[in-house]
Amino acid sequence: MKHHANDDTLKRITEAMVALETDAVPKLAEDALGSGYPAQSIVDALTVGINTVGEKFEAMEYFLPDLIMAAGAMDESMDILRAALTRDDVAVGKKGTIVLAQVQGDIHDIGRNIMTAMLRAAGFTVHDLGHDLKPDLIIDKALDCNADVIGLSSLLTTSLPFAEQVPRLLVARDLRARFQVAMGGGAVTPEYAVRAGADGYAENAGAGVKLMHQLVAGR
Amino acid sequence: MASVFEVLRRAENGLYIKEHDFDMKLFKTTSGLVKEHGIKFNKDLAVAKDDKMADSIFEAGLRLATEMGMFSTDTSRIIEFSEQELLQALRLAPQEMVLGLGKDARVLRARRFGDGYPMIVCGGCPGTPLPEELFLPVMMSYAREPLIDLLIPGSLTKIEGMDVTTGGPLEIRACRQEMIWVREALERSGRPGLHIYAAGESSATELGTLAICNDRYMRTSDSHMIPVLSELKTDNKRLSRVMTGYEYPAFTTSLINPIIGGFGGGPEGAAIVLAAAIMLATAAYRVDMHCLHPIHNKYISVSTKQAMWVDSVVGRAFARNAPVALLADAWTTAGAGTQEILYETAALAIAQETSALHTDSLGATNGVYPNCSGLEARFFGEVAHAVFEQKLGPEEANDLVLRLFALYEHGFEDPNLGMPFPEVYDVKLIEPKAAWLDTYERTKDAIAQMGVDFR
Ligand code: B12
Repeated sequence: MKHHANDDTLKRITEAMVALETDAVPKLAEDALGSGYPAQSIVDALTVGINTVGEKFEAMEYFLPDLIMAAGAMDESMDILRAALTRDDVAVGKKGTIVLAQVQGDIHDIGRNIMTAMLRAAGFTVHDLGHDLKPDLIIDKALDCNADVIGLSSLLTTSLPFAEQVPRLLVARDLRARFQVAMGGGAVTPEYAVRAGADGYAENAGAGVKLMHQLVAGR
Repeated sequence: MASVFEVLRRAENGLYIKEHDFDMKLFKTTSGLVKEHGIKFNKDLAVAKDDKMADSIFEAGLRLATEMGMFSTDTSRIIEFSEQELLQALRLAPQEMVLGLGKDARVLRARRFGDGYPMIVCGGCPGTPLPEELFLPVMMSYAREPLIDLLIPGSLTKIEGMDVTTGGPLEIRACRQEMIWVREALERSGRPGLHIYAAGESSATELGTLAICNDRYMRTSDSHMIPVLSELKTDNKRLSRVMTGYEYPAFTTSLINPIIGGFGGGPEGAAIVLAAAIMLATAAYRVDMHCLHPIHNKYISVSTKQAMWVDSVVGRAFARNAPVALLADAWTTAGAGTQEILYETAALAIAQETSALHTDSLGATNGVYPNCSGLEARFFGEVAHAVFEQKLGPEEANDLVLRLFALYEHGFEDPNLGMPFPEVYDVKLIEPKAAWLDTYERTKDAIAQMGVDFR
């Protein structure tokens, strides 16, 4: 049996992802696993596919719902592959766990939706907490999810005071070393993120994915 | 037509749906309508000229509005409207409004092609966070520009050195102070009766709007804003603004931000979503006018070709099928003091004037930095009036816009944010500094060379 990237079975997985056959993708991953392909080779095929989807989104050939569906298919496939990856002793498929929240009072959600989909596509476990959560509750949720990173999105200057509460409350709750804090969204500048005590800032979703890799690795 | 109470009843008892399912249904339905009507965005067109396509977008918008309704995020219910209710709401929408008072009053019309009236120019820096010490001078820089017909305020984000927080008590104080200073700016500029558009920009919740419903702050000749959440959604805070307007007879305007590349899909879908949102906001909010603001999912600015086209084709669609007063935002990537902002301004002014739109102001740097001033708003007015007098058709307008686009396109990846107000204006005299004035004059000459007749 051939297991390299040019293999038809693996190529079909990549193509199905790129073509957004999102129902077929997890099924194809499962079949490939059943016929003896190493889990890692399947993950690689999926990754090539989802990266192309991400590029097409940036080029406006694909749209936000496409990205969300592709990320969902990636998630489902990873659920199927996870046990095999652990068995093969490959670094487990998930890159880290992130909670994302819009800070209190801010209902803008387009940027957070994009960030969530891109991170899921990149293999992170993402819990989108939505909006209007008090800073302390965001921390409770991060604990519940056993998150590595708390990502805060704010487009309103008047909601920034709630963003900076998160690092401050982490200190007060003796949890500052437990989580990395990332900030983004139109109202946040790199200077502000530093002043607010965040560990990182990204100006768009692409940079956000890179940032999360760094933050998770830095833990 | 459904009463305000009927709308609230539907928000409580309408069909239940998960928000995610609503979003996905919207994507499916919109994509289907784009295909069915053969609507196609052409990257060489920023100004729409195809009447048939505009009519299709109106038809498709009506279908989308009836099939989707408006989703209430607080109750997860759909506020449905029949086609007849939507069309009736559009028919009853005001065709002419007197905004402002006395000699400073202006007539805002639902525009039609060839009706002989130029656009109404709104100036200001909508929602841009301004420090307390700059608020009054920045507002005066707009108030002094005679071509500005309406004034939209910036946002106060600090009061007595304290942060204004969303939903906090200082939102009340900030909105009242905003109104006191905007009025002072108008009085000191000899235009005490000018209409204040979207009053209460300093509050992200309904608190600020409630706080200014008083002649001392927002007069009944002014207006406040009720956003539609993207896409085709509302919530209790938005509906509270509707209720605020129920007994206080100031004018109201919607704010609609379809995301290009978002749940509606590309520019074609975003245009259909925008048309549907105008219909739904007219029926559910009973607003008198609409603020249109399509967002490019990567570059945000309205000066992208996609966003200009979305506004343009929707302007054409309504002017032909059901005229209502539409004010399009003209948000630029660049900031005050740069040549780029003036090129973006000119492109937007031309595209909007020739698409039966009014303008709802120029948001320099997409409303993020206080790098804004009255001078670029003056320029907007000058260009818009010039092309109106020239009777520029959509084809010539499109040629000009594309040539201007080539001059500022580089800024999307690498924005020239320009300078904060005090660096481009003399803050005491409220006059542009020599360097900014010089850039303005040079750019105006260059644009005159391109065929805009400023006489
Ligand atoms: C669309 C929009 C709306 C829509 C929102 C629809 C929705 N479902 O989200 C509606 C109409 C509802 C709306 C309402 C309001 N808005 Co608004 N809105 C915008 C607008 C035009 C675009 C925002 C957007 O979607 N951008 C596109 C996305 C893709 O970009 P993004 O969100 O920045 O996200 C990217 C990055 O920042 C990053 N990112 C985002 N989050 C995170 C998080 C992390 C951890 C990381 C790493 C990265 C990251 O990745 C994303 C993808 O690349 C902006 C203008 C602007 N300059 O941004 C104003 C803007 C944000 N709004 C503004 C205002 C004032 C309001 C209102 C108060 C208006 C009013 N008077 O009612 C209300 C607020 C309601 C509330 N309580 O929140 C102001 C805010 C000013 C300020 N600095 O405080 C702005 C700047 C415009 C302005 N000057 O008026 N708005």
